[in-house]
Amino acid sequence: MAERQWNCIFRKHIGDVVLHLALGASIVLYGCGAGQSGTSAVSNSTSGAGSSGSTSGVPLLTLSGTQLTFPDTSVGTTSTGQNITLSNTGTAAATVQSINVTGRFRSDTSLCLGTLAANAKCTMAVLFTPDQSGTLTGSISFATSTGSLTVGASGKGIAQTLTISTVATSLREGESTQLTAQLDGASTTQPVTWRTDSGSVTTDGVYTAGSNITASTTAHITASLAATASITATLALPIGRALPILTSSTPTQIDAGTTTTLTITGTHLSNLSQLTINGLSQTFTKVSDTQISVQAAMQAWDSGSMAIKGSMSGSDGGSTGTLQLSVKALPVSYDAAVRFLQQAAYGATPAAVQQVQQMGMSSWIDQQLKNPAYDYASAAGASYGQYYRNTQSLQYALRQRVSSALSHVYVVGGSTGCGPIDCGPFWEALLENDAFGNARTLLKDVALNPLMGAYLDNANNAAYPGIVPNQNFAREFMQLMTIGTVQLNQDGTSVLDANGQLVPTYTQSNIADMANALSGWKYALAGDLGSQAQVPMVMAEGWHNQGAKNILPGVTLPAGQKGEIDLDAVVDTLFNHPNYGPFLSRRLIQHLVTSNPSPAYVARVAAVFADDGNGVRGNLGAVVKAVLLDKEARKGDDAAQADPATGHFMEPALYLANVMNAVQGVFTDDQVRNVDVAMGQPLYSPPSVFSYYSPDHMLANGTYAPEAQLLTSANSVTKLGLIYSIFTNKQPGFQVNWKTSPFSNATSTDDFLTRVNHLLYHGQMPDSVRTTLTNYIAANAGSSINSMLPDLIFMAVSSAAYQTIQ
Amino acid sequence: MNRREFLKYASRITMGAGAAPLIPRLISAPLLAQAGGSNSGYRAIVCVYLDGGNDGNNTVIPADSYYSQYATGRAALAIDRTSLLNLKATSGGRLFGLHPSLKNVASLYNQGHATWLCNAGPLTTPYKKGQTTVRVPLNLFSHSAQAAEWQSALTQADSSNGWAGRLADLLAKQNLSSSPIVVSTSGWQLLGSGTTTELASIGAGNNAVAVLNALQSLTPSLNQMDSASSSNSLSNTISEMQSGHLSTTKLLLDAASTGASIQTKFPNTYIGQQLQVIAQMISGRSRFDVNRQIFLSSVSGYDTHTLQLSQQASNLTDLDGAVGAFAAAMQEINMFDQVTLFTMTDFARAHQMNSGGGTDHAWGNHHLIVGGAVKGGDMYGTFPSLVIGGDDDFATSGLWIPTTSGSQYAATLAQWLGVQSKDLSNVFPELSNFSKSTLGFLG
Repeated sequence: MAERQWNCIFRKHIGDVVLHLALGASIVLYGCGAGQSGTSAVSNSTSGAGSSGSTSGVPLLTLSGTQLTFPDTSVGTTSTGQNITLSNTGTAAATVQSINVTGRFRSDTSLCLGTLAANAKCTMAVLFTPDQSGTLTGSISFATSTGSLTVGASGKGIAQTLTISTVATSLREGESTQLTAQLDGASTTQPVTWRTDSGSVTTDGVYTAGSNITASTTAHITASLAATASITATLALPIGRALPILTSSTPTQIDAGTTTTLTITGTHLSNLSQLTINGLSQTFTKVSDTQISVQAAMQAWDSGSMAIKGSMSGSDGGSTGTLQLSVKALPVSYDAAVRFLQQAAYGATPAAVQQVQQMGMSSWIDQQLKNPAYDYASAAGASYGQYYRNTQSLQYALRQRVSSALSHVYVVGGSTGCGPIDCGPFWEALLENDAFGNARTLLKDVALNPLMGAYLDNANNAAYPGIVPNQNFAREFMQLMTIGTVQLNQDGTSVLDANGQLVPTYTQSNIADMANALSGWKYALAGDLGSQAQVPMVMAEGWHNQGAKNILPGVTLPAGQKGEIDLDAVVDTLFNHPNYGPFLSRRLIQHLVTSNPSPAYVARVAAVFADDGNGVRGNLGAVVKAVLLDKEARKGDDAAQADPATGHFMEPALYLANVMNAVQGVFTDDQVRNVDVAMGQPLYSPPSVFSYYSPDHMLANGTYAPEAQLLTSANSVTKLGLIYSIFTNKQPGFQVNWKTSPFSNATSTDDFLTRVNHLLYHGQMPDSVRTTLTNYIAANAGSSINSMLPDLIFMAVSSAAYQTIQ
Repeated sequence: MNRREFLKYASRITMGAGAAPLIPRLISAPLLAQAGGSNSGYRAIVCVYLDGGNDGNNTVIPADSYYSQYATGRAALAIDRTSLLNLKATSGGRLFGLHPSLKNVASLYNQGHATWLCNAGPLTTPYKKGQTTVRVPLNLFSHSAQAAEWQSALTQADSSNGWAGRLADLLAKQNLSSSPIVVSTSGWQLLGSGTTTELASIGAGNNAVAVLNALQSLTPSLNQMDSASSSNSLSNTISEMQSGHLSTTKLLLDAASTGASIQTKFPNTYIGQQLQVIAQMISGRSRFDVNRQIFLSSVSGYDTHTLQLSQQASNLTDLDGAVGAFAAAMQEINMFDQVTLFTMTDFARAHQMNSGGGTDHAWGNHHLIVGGAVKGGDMYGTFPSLVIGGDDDFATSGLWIPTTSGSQYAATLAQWLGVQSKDLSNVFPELSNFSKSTLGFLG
């Protein structure tokens, strides 16, 4: 460029002076500016190429060449010059009349116009100025006094490309970015003109998106060379809405299980599409662009720090920042409450969980101990449905569970001697009334109840001289109801003698004398049992054995005592026997908490049986509380502390009640009877005084699992079929409304599994169950979770893990 | 992989690869399942458990000069001599009669297809009245303890398994079969539980077929759920147990259905229905890939503390009808020689009547064995002298001290199933306390 400038300056000073150069001198003169092509002033035109001149004193003009070939040159630029030299090698001057330059070439023709003396030459530079791509040709024709001379010219125009580069591939409302125009892939100093159809762009290429973007759009930004307006480039830049940002939430801590209004501030909140807390979608209201109001529905099992996240949907969507919300769990965690209710009631419902969480386990038990029993006696008859409906009542739950446990120890058959009606509800009434009272009261009530009298043949059991009373009740009152067959330590383990042998609690002759001691009782009224099921038997002294009775080793009742005195002595003896505490404690623990309590656990409960803290022996309410609140019972509330060997398999009745509570199903009438019979546990009708299964039933591995005695292949299949029938609303007497179940309307597979995990598994759902349910949902992707609930919950409650209270 | 799957898997490997059959360590060769599923050499024993303690004293009754001894002790419970069903004389020259309800049994006995084992009961070692240094079984006269001792053939400790279950453990170990060896029609029984054997159970008259159909599409999911371990050991054992219940039930129903063409009519009683299903499964045995099976049935109502005469008559009528039909069914399908039915019961009942017209718990009792393989028409064991307070009475009310142990009784059945004599003590640890291991009533 410096050379060109110099030429221009030079020309300015010398004007259009024709230089006559000395021979041999060679000064190259260049034209300046544009538009130098064309035809100069012409006088005598000659024609012909090559040389022309006269023969005598004849000029002879020759050109330095016949063809100029230019290197490829970018469109819009000017090539470096190529010289054409016109020489007069003749002997006379010649005249160049005109020079005509055609095509995209130009030259300062004035340098060679006019007279060219003999032996002189002139040189002019030819420039290539392509304005388009491709091969371009032209010519430089000299009209001279000797004729015309022509030089061809050709060159290739190379197209120029302008591009726009940018760091940002998209911008949001109000954001800026520096754009750079590049010419043929390299930076250029050529002036560039910028313009845009959206937002603004500065002359030096800083683009700024518009300030009120309400929908995603695209800005088109165009750059063009100032010099060559046809050389342009356009960038399409996506412009999105501003991302909402959350900056604060008030309050920062809320309670689990509640719905709380949160005020969340931030920016651009009008663009917010969705808000989640702990991954679950929340309902919210937009107050302004900087404030929203959220109905934060916290699950009852939530606790600890939870993330609040927002998002804007759409092609320009994205996530907000994260706020932390602290969720305050209730004193009892949700999972612990569910687990507790599986032990102390008939499984968890959201309402029951809330009650336990709010009251705490100890106060909840205290309240249950105070709640009056359901009046089974006045509702007697075939009230099987009522029994099961009561398992769904928070009022009777614990009393009924304990009564159920006691019914496995103090066993009668509801139909024995009752004619057409089932006397079971009367027995239920006895057990429920005594469940939280004193065990001595329970024992005497059991001994005198006519249902027991009929069932174990102690009613009308007479002792005459030479005729012995039957021993049925006498034996089982000891073996099954109070002290068992061998002496026990207070931790429930067997006492061993010096030879390592078990020590029997009684002998066959003790049994015979126990029968004598219990002889003489008869029904108080004539007629069938149904009319007197709550009327204690009365003593017929004439039937009572009058001799002395050695009822236990070391315990002899003196001769001549009246029947009721003997009975009281028997009851006192058994009630105060050291075996009774650990014996009954173990059974209550097995039914409520675990089949295999540690000896220490049994000992702690037996100690409460021996003394409730107020010097009272046999306070069953206190014993029940000790069973449920013992550290061994509560250990598994923390999953990390759970003992892998704890828990018990659910008996069919307990399972049925748990399942129905889980789905909040309805026992519509008494037809539940068909189901509990088929499942192997007809209410009030155990197969024998040994109840439905043995407390000592062992698995092959030698651990106790009493209820698993009923887990045969036949029962298993029957049970599966019945539950499925109930869940699909095909079982008469049952109704399940899935729309109102706690599992309906799950927002996602995760949401559904979370509910199952907490409500059914107290947060300890095994992976195999999770995988099975997940796979099932995935395999039926065309169906909604709602429509699959009968299948899904059926599977969830059929797992071994669900059926094992742990 | 749980135990059951392992057994199935091992079974496929063994049979598929055509490997040489494993020679059983304790069980003779015929016990092996045949690779082709053939049931050649099939044998089964069928237990009828009389729950509560049948009164043997009124079941097998002296019909010779000892009748008066019987009648004196029994007082009002004595059955009139003229109503007894007479049995042919024993090889020792004694005459007995059966309770008048046992018509079919009496007939089978007199045809040589049935016998009674007299005065057997749980015994640790031979015991004579008054011995103080000889140990008697734990908790005599207790239902639960005596039933467990009968079923476990162990009298000095609680056991989590029964002798038929232990026998099945051996069979399963050698057969590696997926078919159940022990099948119960009356739910779980200690008798059929082994250390690895889980008994299969089939319900009489339930709608299991409909259930299996209804759950067909969910069955893979149910199985998947029970296929993996969780952190709780009890739950794991439960899942192992229930994981095969659907397929086991299907197999049992298939077999019973296959054998449902038996023409013999069974009485519509609880025990009748059970023995009918068992007969059908034996008839449909081609569905099983084992050739030794043990069937368990049970019927209650035998604990006759009061009003025994009518109750026992009713019980024995049901029993006789069912046993008679079962024997006829086995003869019908030509399996009588390969199937042996036998009874067990908690204990006998005191010879002395109580004031309620019933009897209380006793000890030694008489047990019925029926089948083509029975060397019948004669009695086994030693019939007690029915003297209350006498040498055979444990106390003073006619509690007969057994002279044959439950282990000997069971070992005789086990030997017939194929256990070699020298190996019987592995299944029956107390057997070595007795001079004779087996009693010879099966040939």
